[in-house]
Amino acid sequence: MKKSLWSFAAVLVLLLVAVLWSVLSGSLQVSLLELLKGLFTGTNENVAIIRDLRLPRVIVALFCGAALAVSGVLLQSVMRSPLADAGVIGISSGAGFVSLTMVTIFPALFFWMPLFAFLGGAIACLLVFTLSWKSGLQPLRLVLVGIAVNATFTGLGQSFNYRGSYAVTMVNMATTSIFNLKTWEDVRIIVLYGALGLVLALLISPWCNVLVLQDKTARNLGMHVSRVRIAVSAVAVLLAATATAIGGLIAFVGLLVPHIARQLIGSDHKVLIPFSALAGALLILVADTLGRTVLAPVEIPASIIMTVIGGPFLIFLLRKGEVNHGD
Amino acid sequence: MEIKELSFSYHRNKKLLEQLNLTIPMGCTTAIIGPNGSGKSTLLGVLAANYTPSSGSIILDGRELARLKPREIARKLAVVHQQNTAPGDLTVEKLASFGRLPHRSLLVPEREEDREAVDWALACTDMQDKRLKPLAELSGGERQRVWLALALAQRTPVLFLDEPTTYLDIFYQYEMLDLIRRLGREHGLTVVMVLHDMNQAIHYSDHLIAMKAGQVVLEGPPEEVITADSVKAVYGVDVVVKREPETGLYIVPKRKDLN
Repeated sequence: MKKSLWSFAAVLVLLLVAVLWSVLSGSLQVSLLELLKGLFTGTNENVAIIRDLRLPRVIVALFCGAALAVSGVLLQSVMRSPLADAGVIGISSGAGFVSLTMVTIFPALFFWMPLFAFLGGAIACLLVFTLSWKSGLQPLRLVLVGIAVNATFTGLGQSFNYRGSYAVTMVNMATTSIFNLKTWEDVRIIVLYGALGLVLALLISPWCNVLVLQDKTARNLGMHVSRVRIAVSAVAVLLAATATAIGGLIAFVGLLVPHIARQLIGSDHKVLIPFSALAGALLILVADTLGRTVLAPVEIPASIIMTVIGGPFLIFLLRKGEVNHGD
Repeated sequence: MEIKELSFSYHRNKKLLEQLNLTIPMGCTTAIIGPNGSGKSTLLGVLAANYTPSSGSIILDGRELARLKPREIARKLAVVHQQNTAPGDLTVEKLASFGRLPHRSLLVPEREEDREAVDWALACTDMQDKRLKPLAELSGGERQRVWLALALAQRTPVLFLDEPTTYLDIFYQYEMLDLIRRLGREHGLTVVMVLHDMNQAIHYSDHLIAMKAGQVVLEGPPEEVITADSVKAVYGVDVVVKREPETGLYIVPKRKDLN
């Protein structure tokens, strides 16, 4: 109990520090005092630029990280595999592909992008479930099928890059994830859908605790297992799709954060979900801020940093062998 | 519990259970035995509504099982599975409290009767002292008792157990079986368990069902249905049926190297 309290306190403090660091660092430098004064009075020109360019970016990064981490927690409980992550098993790339296709064909529907992303993510999720279902879910097969689904959708998405049309540059920017040029419009979308997803995730957290037991156990406890599984998956897809639609493709957040969170605060989803949200927000914000400050003015996308950390981490998880927690 | 013309199959061409007609007497202990692949665990799974039968009906408490909602079934019937998984850091108390799910909504806090039922289940299984321990720190026998406590906390009149002794050494096996018998008698439970060991089935059941190739081949009190011929017919093993004052009825396979 004490350990989990400390962990919560630590992640909150770190998150606060990271937000301040991120807002204050970059090509434009202001002091904290100037920033606060400028935000309230609106007279400082530098602060106005930071408000319009840097703040949305910070908020988008926070929500993307939180959404992806929680989506990972939900997927892991519903698929009963610690290897499930929206980015790894193709939900993000499905979401990215469908939303990009729709927005390219109907540019006027930009505000509905999260909805299309949700549709794409749901299709990918359904594919992974049906293709890996063999009188039950087996963690490793699920991940293999997921990787195949991911490859397919990533390939479809990338084929946009090689059509040689005028739309290429725009699409390209949205498939990789650079958080620059995020506007308050993006913030509105991600806060709306992201917050909805996070609240839903908190509400269904008791279900997740029962889902991690076996299907037959959950059923014998009177649970409609397939209905609950669909509901939890839907929330996970909503979160991953929102993050993908606004932040682009970022893999491994949902793998790394829940794993570390379980070590720190245990497997009870009532605390695991809020903790993962905070830790995921912290991780992506740090990755994005590092990415734009270390080699400034060159930017390394947060997604690339995550892939570099995440790849070896997946190997570590696979090497650890025993994929499901013992009985 | 009445079972009428029950059939079940995963694949169309391979029937796992075929046209079973059975009565499971209420208020006493029934053991289901049979060779590997005879369908005994499948039968238990169908009776527990984990699998949907392809035809036939199961009547529980005067109502058709297929028409009951999962939650209604979970208030009448609890199951202890052979193999269970749960996070290692889950505490004994927390796992047992999942047994209250059929009686309350997940979003509503625990009531007094929920706490009482969990306390009772932990007391029955002698796990009160360890209620705050995580599952990872328990022995195999203790872990099995926690899963039994989970089922007991459901406070159902019917309790199913699928090979409850499989992963336990002989000490814990008999401890578990004695516990099940005592609970069954004290609380008038209808216990149905799948057992591998014939002698355990003879000792711990009032009613015996033997299955072979998806069909029931023996049904009745163990004292009446266990004979050298019937065991040969079910398992294909030559045995001697003995009775000693200290052990009651038991069977031993004949040794082929002695004659």
